[in-house]
Amino acid sequence: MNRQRISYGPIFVYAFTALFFLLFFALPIWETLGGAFRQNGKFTLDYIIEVFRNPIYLEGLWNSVQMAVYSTALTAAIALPLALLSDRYLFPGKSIFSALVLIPMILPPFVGAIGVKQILGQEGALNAFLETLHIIDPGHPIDWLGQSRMFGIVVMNALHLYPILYLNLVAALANVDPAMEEAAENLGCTGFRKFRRITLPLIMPGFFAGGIIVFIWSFTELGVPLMFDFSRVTSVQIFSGIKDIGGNPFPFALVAVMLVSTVILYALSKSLFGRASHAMMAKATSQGGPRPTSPLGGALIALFFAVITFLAVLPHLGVILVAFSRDWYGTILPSGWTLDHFSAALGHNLTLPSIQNSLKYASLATLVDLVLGIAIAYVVTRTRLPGRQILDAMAMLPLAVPGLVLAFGYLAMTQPGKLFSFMNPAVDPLMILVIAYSVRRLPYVVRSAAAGFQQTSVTLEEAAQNLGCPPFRALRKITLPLIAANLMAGGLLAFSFAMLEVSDSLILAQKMEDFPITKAIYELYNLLGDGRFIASALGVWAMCFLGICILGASLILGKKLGAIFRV
Amino acid sequence: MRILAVLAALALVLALPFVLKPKENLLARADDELVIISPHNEAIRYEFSRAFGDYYKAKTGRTVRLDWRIVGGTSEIARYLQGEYFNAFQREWTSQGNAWTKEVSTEFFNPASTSPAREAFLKSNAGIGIDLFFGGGAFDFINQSKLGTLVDSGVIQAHPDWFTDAIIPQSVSGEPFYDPKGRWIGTCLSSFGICYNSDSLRRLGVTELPSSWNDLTNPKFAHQVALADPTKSGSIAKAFEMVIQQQMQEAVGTGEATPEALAEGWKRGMQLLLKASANSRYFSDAAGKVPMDVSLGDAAIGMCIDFYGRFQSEAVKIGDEPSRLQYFTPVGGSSVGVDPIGLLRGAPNPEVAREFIAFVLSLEGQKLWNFKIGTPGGPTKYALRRLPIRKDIYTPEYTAYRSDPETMPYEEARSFTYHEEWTGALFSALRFIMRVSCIDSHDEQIAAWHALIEAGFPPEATATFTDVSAIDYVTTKDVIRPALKGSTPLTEVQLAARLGEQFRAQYRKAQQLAKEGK
Repeated sequence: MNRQRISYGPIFVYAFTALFFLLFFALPIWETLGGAFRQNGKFTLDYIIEVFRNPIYLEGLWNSVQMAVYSTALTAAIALPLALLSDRYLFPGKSIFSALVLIPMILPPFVGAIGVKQILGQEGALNAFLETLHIIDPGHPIDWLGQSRMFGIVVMNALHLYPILYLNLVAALANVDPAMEEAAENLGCTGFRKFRRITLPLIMPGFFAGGIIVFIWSFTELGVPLMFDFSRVTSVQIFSGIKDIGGNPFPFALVAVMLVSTVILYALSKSLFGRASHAMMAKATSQGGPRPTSPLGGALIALFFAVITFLAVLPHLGVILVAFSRDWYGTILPSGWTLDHFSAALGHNLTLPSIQNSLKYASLATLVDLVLGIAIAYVVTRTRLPGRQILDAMAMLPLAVPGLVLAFGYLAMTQPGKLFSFMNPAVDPLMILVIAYSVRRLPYVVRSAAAGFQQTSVTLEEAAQNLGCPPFRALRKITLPLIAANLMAGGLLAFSFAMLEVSDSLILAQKMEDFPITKAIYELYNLLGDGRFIASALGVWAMCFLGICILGASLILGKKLGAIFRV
Repeated sequence: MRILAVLAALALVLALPFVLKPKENLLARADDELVIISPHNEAIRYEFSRAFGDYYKAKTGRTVRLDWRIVGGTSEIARYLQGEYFNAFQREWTSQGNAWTKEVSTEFFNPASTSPAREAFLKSNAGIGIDLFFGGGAFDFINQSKLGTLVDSGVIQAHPDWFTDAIIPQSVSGEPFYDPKGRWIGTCLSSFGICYNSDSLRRLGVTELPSSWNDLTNPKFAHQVALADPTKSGSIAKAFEMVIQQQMQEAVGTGEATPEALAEGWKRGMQLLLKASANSRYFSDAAGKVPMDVSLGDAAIGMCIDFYGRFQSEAVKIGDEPSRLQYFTPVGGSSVGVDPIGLLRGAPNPEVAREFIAFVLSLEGQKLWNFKIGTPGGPTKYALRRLPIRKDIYTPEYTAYRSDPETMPYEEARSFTYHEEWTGALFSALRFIMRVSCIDSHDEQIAAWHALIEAGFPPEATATFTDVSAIDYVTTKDVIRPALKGSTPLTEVQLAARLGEQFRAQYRKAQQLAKEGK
């Protein structure tokens, strides 16, 4: 490798990623949102000001903040004990539970709501169960989805999102040098105090990395509030504004406000929780690692994992049962069983091409994410380039932009005659979809990679460089293998979510031969009569595929992952 | 070993769709191509692709492939067309050496404009690579015709014998069925009605079966009504207009349509909608959500499109028992509208496009809409359950083949006449009113309604709740409509905020009064 070029490496990476963001994030947003800042051809902030004058939009914003705070708190309350238990103790079924933890996240769109309704609906499984136990009166079923909606949304968000935080925490805990905790114990700091003073500060980067994603995710979450018909939150207000046939540009002002709020909330949480990062040098200086537990303790831990996992996969169970059922109404389990929906779904002429397309789009997008994610995380954590914090914040923003806004932006900028007309989705959506998918999933990889970089001392690389290893090679040979677990976690999330992407897929994949699997599910879902069964069947297929990928990855890499951290 | 097991499972999952792959491939390349943008579902696309392919092959000896462009529902399609035509014309205009000024960019798409840019657009062949727009409501097609994105397909001139009162009338009960200028033609019929779950009715103690829109206001249905969202679809907004028109018609009776009678009817219609909204769980923009939720018991009663209701009713039927989901069209409360097709400006394959329009309107094409699977000329995979536009399909010779032999939309349409002059001009205003008084104020409205129910509808509180003077007929015509017409997007939002706040205050007051028992 040429030494001359390498010293410019970080600047080149910085410039390249900034340019990528400018072109494929800022530009499409401006294409769509521009209307909210223009009146009679002049720049105006009137729309933005109006958002803050308007009581229902203010209330929506406040509800969104509440939704995010409560969801993150509950998510932490679930994920932190799980991660600590899993890091510290051996218990029965540990490998299964650790492998299953990502499953709650793989809920295919559209059909996820079917599963939830089938369980929580007025004639749903839960009410039927409670009626059988004579806890409730069949004449007065509980309207689970219609009552205490904020509570329902928060619980649903937490059960859906805790894996993100859990994964980051487990990776962070694995990076904690046991010698640190042992030193604390030697000095008389034990129990909760040790956790608060030593462990928690050491895992803060991972906590922040996962927590901020959960926070922004629930701040902008659309599907769950829609499921509960909770319309006074910003995301739903934007969604209905965009779909309004009046075509008023005002909802785009709401998007802008939401974007800025996200940046502010991100900066705020970063200054509160993200600052203190303690890089550790040593990786393998002591015999740490999980300890065996007493049989009762082990059983209790396993039970805790089992209960959380069961609650989190209830919607999935709902979808799976729907896919196999003839009818399911007012009973605990479906009243008839069939395999027909699977042959209808998998034998449909949209299905096979859509599976091939999704695999292609999602794997390419994950690749782009890994390259960009490592590059951005490197610039942010390893260089002192001015403005790197902006790059860092920018990498989080895709979480805050409604998918529809970006999708319409991409559509506009790839029109014939425009700069990116060669990517026109009506001709071939491959490039623009891969870019769209990767931009929207980038935050996961950036956060996981950044957490890894922060926890791995730069002195290891410096030592390599002292011994004559060029910086790039030092990064590749020393740091990247050390943070492989973080990259793996981020990459898996990016891949799974790319496979399940909705907005870009619905708008940008216009020709049937280009449909990804989510659009095929949507098309089947819209069939009258059997649509929801057939769509569920295809959804089950998607869950199986992603489930096996994730289980396989953790089984295959499980030992290696462990080995990297504690030989 | 573990790795092998994982790989084997992965291979199995990946192999399944290959094993079950369908034999025929409708996506394969062909001699000719036709590009269609459509909100129609996969069932309709499949049956028309297959049947038109066979017809085209028989007629021309060439194969044809239908390239359906699916960008979402009608609101997404409208946005898509607008964006694409904007670019197409910009390219055309600048390629002729003209400057693309701000004025040109706003004027060429303005139906009221007489500027050179507008004229150039209407004369141009600026295209977006798509031939046809197929499906949606007449509302969307009238809009696109006004904008100038649709052009005359020439099918009316080519088949004058079809466009008579005996086959495809120009309008029925005041609703247009095709554009006399040929830019769009209805292909099938639809109307809005009510679906309800008979189990839920029993549970809620509703003994009398619903029969009119008024039943949606029954307090026993509190939080059990599913409504469609009039702000997100022209056809749903139309259905709301019909609810009001029915009340106006009843107020007018057999007498003369005096301004007082019309105002009284409007007021009753508004109060009806307010109460139905107060009963409702949500306003849905997804056409299938309402009948689905009602059939699952997640709502007891709802407003839905006829064919969705009929289809879902049959789908949840078990054996010979009457289905738990029932659908009806309120007599005299709904007009029959059309789902049109139209040729887009600058279509790349105009000949094939004309052939397709003619096929959809021919007897062969019309059979697909309602014939049962496997009947002569009927669909092969999906029963579409839509109602064909051609009257000659409703003759006794086809009764045995039809999925819905009892449904006679042309008879139903007689019980209702749409009076364009009463509310036609208030179409946008009505959507706006529904948004501020019901959708934006839904939480407060529901809270007040529940308080009213609990208190047994005390008079003062009830009067406050149902006070629609801010949106009465005269105010809507003389204040709201002109305000909306002359408004910028910003002033419209401000007007919505002001009126919405007024309604929310009114609902809060009604809630307070109800709690005080007044």
